[in-house]
Amino acid sequence: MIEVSGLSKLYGSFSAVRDLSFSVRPGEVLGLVGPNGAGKTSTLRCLAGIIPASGGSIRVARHDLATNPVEAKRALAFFPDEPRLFDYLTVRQHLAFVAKIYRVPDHEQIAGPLLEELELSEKVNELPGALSRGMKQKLAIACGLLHSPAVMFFDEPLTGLDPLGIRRMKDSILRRAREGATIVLSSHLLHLLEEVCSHVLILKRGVKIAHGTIAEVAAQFGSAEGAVNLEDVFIRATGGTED
Amino acid sequence: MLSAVVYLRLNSLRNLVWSRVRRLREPKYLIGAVVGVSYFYFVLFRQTGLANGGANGLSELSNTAAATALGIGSLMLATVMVFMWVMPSGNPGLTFTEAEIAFLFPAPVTRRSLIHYKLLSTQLRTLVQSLFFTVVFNHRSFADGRAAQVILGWWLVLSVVNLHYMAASLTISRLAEGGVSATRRRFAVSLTIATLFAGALAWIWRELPPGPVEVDQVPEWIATVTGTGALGWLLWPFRALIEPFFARGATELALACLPAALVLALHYRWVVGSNVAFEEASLARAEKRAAKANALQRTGALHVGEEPRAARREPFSLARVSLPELAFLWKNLLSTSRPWFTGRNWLAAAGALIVVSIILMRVLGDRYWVAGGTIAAISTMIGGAAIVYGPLLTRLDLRQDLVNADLLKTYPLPGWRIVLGEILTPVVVLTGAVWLGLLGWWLGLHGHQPPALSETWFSPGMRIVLVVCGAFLAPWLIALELLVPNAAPILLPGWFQTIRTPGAGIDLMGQRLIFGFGQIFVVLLALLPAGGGAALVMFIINALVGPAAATIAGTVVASVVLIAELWCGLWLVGSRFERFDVSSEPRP
Repeated sequence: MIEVSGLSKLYGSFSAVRDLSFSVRPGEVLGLVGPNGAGKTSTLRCLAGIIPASGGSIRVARHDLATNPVEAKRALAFFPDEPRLFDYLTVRQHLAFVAKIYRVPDHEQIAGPLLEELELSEKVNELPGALSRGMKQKLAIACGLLHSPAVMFFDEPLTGLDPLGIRRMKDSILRRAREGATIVLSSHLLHLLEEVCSHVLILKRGVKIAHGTIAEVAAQFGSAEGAVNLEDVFIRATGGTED
Repeated sequence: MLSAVVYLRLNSLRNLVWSRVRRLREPKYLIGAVVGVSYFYFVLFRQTGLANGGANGLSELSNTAAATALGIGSLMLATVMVFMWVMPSGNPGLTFTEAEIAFLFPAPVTRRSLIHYKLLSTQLRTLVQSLFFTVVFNHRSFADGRAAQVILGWWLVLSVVNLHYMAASLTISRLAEGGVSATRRRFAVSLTIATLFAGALAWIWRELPPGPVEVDQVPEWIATVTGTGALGWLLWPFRALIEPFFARGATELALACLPAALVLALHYRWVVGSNVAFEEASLARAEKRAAKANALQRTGALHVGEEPRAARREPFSLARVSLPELAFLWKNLLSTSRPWFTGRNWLAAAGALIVVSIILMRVLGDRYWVAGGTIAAISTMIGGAAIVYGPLLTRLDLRQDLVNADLLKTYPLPGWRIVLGEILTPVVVLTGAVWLGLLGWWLGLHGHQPPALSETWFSPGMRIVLVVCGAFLAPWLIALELLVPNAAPILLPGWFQTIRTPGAGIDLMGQRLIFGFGQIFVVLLALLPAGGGAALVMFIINALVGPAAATIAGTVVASVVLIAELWCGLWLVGSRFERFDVSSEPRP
């Protein structure tokens, strides 16, 4: 469960996110979309507690991120667009390190099936330098899933993945949502959002333009001709420009 | 958190050492390691006497000398720490890698735990640095068994410097959060320092006898001024940190360590007690560092500036030129991070040089040689540096563009024209600097004959010949010098990629040494025929006609040989570039 109320983020005098409020319930997948510079990454970083919000409140799994950050963060996982790994830790050691940070008991029992699922079992003793881009991405995902987070944030989750990797990632996100996870993801790939997301939130210059289920947002920005896809909705909602 | 840090650091260190040892199976790394170790042994250890033993310099200092060293050391340490407040590097905040941010910032750890993680992480580096500084600056302590004391001294100093840096960064972050601008902060810090300094000076003026008259009294005066009164109090924390270096015996060392430990503990308390949101600045720092490492790997460029937002003035009109090589020159001149070199700027510099020289000639009259000599000397240094160091330092050529090799190979041009086009920019820039140097040299010597210069070879008439010949020879010479380092990535892509790889290691250092010395050796070898031919012709013509004709003939011969070598080199490198396997080019 994520509850955001009046979130704002300032960089000096520049306002990246303004008075943003929404909530995401367990089992829901919220797609965060918007033109370049809309404030998607700033929003995700604030939600994940990577950078502090300038105003408003964020509750993750019923814990306030500002006043109780440790408990809130224990329930979440953040997956950046680029896998950022330690150069001199092997795959197995990355998981062991994460297990120590998140205090995951018997992490090897969880790590085994996870590595199997992500096809990393044969790479456990490899350093990141010996892994392909896709493998690194999988390792970052394995590290994020090790503590079984209830809330997940994905920033451009399909960057650098091959078609098979994209299919598996989509299935994985949907399966986690079905199992009760609360998921927020940002992406420019609108067809992905249509396939995966139950809800969508459109941002433009840090301000919420639309929020709701895909059907609700489509109805809000639809036309008399009938059904429209998310791409049409996005273009109509944002006016087709970054500004 | 402690166990996680220890796990991360120990495993990273073990894997790092193991991967470095494993890569020695490749001959290029093994050879690099042998050269690197030899360099350290012969240049550092052997020269400094570590391998042979020796006496400890610190233990031999007299009381006055030790007090003077303490005073100077504490002043230096104070200056370093003041600079952390006045001129902090980049964004304030703690330095984390991108991986640390990705794993730790969203993790269930408190901000205080992150600070402890940072403190513990820096300790390993501090210990290695302490050992390194002891080897470099206090190597003799290993001979008389005081190495542990010196390492402890360095550890105390470096730990407090690190802590102070972190504390300053966090405090500056807090001030920035509170709306205090960098200008206001600098003003406040400078004013505080100036006030304290003025107060200390006033005390010295009132309380101490007048300054030293005799040179041999200077050390004692420095020791008194920095160790007593107002300045003594101000510098006390800094002196406390340095005193363990000078302790004689275990008891004295233990007593000296107590105040130093107090300073360390206070700094620790300051850092840990800072509840400042440093995450945003740390993120910005990490992204900047990653961009810098990426740029270094891709282009070899150490400077990563802001991306240009406004179009720059074109160096010349591309529509007016027909040679495709000049398009590369145009592109590379536009691509420089500091686009100061333009024809207009060169003409302005030459004009200013002429105007200043004429004014000085008029004003100084017969005494112009005083200023002129300086102008000639500085100009000679600028011109000489452009020829000797310029080709080693510049990167505005094929080496920078190699990341675009796949694109370059699609151009409908023979390889030699691409290589020529790519090296034109540094040739033009460095030739411009050499020509300015020649102009300054000629103007500086105008109207006088320094006794150190031969009246035959440096007569007023001969100087014009020398300047014109030097100006004619410069571009060919510089082009040949530049061709060698540009040939290296094409002929030895594997080595070139390795030496640009960000990272350390004695094997990589050895490879860089081999590569650097190899380049210098090849350039000297290439210059040998031109130099030898020119010297022979000059010797004969000088005997038959005179120095002016000999200089002109020597220049013609040297130029012909250089141009021939350059053409052969361009053809060779160009043809290799046509067959260059882009999959072996340096990629991030």
